Amino acid sequence: MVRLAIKDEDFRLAFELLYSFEQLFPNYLELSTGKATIHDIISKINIEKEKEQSKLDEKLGYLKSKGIEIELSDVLVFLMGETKNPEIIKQSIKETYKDSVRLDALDNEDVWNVLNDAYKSRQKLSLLNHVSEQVVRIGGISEAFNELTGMTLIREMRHRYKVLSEFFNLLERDHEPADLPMGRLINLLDLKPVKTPEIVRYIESLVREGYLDVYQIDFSKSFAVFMFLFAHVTKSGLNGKEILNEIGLYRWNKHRNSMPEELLVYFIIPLSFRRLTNMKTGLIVARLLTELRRQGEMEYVEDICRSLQNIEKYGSDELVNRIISYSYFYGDLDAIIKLGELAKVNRSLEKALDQLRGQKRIPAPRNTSRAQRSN
Amino acid sequence: MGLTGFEKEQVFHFFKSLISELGGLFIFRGVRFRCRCKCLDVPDERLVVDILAYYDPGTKEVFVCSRHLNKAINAYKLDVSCARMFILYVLLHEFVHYALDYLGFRPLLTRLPDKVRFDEPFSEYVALRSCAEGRLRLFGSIIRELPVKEDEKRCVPLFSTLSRPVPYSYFNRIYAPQEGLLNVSAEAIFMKLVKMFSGIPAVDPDPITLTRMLFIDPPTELALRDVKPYMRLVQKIPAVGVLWCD
Repeated sequence: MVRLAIKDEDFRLAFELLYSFEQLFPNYLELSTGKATIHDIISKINIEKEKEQSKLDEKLGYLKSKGIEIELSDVLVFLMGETKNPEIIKQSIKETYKDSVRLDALDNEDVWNVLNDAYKSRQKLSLLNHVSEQVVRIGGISEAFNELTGMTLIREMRHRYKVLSEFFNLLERDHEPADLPMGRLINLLDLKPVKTPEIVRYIESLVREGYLDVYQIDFSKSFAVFMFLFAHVTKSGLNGKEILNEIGLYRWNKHRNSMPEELLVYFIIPLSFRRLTNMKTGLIVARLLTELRRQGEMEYVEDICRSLQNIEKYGSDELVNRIISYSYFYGDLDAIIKLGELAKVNRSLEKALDQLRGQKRIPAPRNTSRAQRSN
Repeated sequence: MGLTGFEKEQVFHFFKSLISELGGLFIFRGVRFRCRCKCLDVPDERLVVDILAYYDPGTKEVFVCSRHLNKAINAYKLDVSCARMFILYVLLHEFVHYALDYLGFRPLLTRLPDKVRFDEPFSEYVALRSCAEGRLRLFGSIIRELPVKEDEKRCVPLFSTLSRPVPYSYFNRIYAPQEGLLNVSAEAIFMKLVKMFSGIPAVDPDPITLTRMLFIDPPTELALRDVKPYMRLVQKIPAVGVLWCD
């Protein structure tokens, strides 16, 4: 199984709180120029609760003046939530209270309008109380919350919280390797899950610097894998943005909304290496794969990654560099596969080269995938 | 660019500016209208550099077949920098033919059947190696630095991976892996082949036999020593005249 991210409770709670808050005050985040901190929100909630309570009291007072007692008001407000149809509500009251309640007041249209307003106030109060309870319960996550509210990604996605929430679920659940782009390779390279907030931070930085457009991100599996790989390369010291520059603006703009394997190989190939210098060198293998249009053959990419691992494991950086330069300039990716296999068998890249020298024959590029070759 | 194609005049402009940057290697001798450029009724998608330009041992000049060169650049959809690099690569290929002639290898090479002309893959390899290294190096001696920018080197794999017929395609069997991976210089291998073919009459070995022969054993120290006399000579190679065939 493959998992891309580890759930961070504080982050998810902060995110849910923000979602509830956005429902209450849809324009608050948009209007607040700087970060909306958790303290701003607590004071905003308290003010709103007072306001809403006084509105509700006023409405209940009006209803009482029309002969509708508080107890009945509560029932009516509840029923407003069930149906907006006065006739059905009246019928329901009649059946419940028989003749013990006078319903003349309910013939007044103004009363129904006030009842509707009271219902809305009650709803809002209930949501305010819920958020208020959440704030108290998660008082310790103010840092996570404050960070989220400062993010362009979160602000711009304020009407699509569910999309983001589903994306987080996608990151945090287990996948069959075959169901995830590059899933088998992620397992092969033993890439561990990263924390969800880290991925969000990387998306934010790509959005802020104009590499990604919030409105065009599809939050698909391919995008999730891309961000996972981006986080890995950046954490390992090879800035993911360097790779984007390597991919080139034209190709990046063309593919960034669909994240095909052609883009993903630029990240997965360097990750076959552990050492930073080799990772940088590995980028040119990705470039060659793209230029030879071999990236669609995932089995071939797997062979390359496995061999690169072995080449690094059993050889010096100088030799790795030499082999990759040769493969790149003369388009001979098969040499990497051959040497990787020999290095593993001999437990030494030097010995692998000696063996190759002894064989007196180096296979030329065959332009066929492993699958085809085995047939 | 590249996507819409280059006009003949643009390609000529790239060529002219390259020639002026490559002073010491080439001298522009003008435009000619009657050359021995091949007529290609059926276009072959495989790359044969000697159709795009050729070295004439009689006049000791290089002739660039502009029509074919232009077609190739557009067929491979090269962008501006790769188009310029491609012309450089073609010119270097022909320069190596000229250099081999200057060094006295021609009599041996011309008696070989076309399919085993091991100077063709050698010229291919040296031209590609020069573009990748940014300098022309032959027989262990650096002839000159080339006007190749670092980011232009990305064009080299594009050229290396183009499909070629025999014997051109042998460059990535005979020379590139030996030098790139096993540290045996292409020149040492070339000398080994020279010795090998000097000792046998002008037979017509089939390509499979040839490739087997090439891998009998790696060049020895003796072969490496054979390269040394040519190190000084290559420094004395005069610039070759180059003509643009319209």
